[in-house]
Amino acid sequence: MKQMAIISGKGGTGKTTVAAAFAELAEQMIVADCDVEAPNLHLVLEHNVKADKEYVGNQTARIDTLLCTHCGRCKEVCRFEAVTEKGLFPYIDSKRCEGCAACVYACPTHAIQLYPEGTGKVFLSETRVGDFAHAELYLAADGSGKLVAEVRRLARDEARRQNKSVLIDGSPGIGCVVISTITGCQKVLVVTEPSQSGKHDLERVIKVTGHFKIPTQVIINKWDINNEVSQEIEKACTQLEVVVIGKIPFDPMVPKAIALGHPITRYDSPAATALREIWTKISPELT
Amino acid sequence: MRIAISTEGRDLDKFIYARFGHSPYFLFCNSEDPQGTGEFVDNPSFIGNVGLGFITADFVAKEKTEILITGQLGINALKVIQAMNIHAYTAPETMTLRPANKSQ
Repeated sequence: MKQMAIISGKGGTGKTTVAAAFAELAEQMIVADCDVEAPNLHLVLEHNVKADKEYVGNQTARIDTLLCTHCGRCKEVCRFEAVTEKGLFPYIDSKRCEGCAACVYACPTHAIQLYPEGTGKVFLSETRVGDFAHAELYLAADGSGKLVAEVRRLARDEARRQNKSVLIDGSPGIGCVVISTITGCQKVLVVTEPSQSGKHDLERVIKVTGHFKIPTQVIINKWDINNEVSQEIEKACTQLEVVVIGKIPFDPMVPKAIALGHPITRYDSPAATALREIWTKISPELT
Repeated sequence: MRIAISTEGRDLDKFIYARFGHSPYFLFCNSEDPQGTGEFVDNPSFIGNVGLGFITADFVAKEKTEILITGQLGINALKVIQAMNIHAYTAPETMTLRPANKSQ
């Protein structure tokens, strides 16, 4: 059971386009979208949701008004200014409450308890290539890294059960969500673009994969819109001892395919050709 | 020597959990008698959202761990583990607790 994650550093470089293309070309694969804050793989991957479940990633405090003596201790100890008023009683605003339990301990009549709080929704869907795990974080909810870990767990359990490998569409950036996306993977692909921010963020994210010593390869997407910076990126990769496994040309068919809700590899176009080439290099490692 | 192993479940047939900070449980045991002295403990950072690496590493250190077996240590957790002189070993997620125990 092998796992490969596609990340980017800078956002908008083409992770999901690449992930959808590989899902279209693969024969059998478990797919996961670990961008839980702004998921969009489901927009280009035909699928049927077969199960969904709320994910409880946090706790929130609630005051039992029958036991409350209006002493105000909860408001004194709360560091998040979550204690307000509703009617004549103190009331905890669950949007501000961080579940730290200071009020639970402080309350002299034990009127406050912590209750589980849903932070997102997890989905298990069916696609042509295999099961697809994805999730959505609730607006302004905390714990995106934990929700990613839950998507990873779902994908991994199915992969173990069905003896398939996992293809993961990741989040941009270098934070907790990305780390949760890549840990335990045998290979990471970084999709970048030939811009200064693309190059800078690529170098940052390679530091993250380097910390975890996960074999990393780079795809330069839309390389021909700036050949000079593409070459700078290739030079930087050589210095970092990271292989550029492929370059995809700028291709106006790509946004058209996305608008139609299809992977680019369903069409005959330069980007599709480049992606097929990259896939033939990568797919043997995933079986 | 006291050993800690990150795991996904309270059972010797469960797998090692790759993400140290997110690991729901840890198995603590002594190297002299791993099967006999094993005890499963919940990871206290599991209900939180921030600083899981620090909290989990602190928890494992407070249990007087000398050897840690896990998948991968994040940058924050690594700082604490190194500062506490705990020897850390990596094991793949395909390994269950039984062989991990035996290879001590």
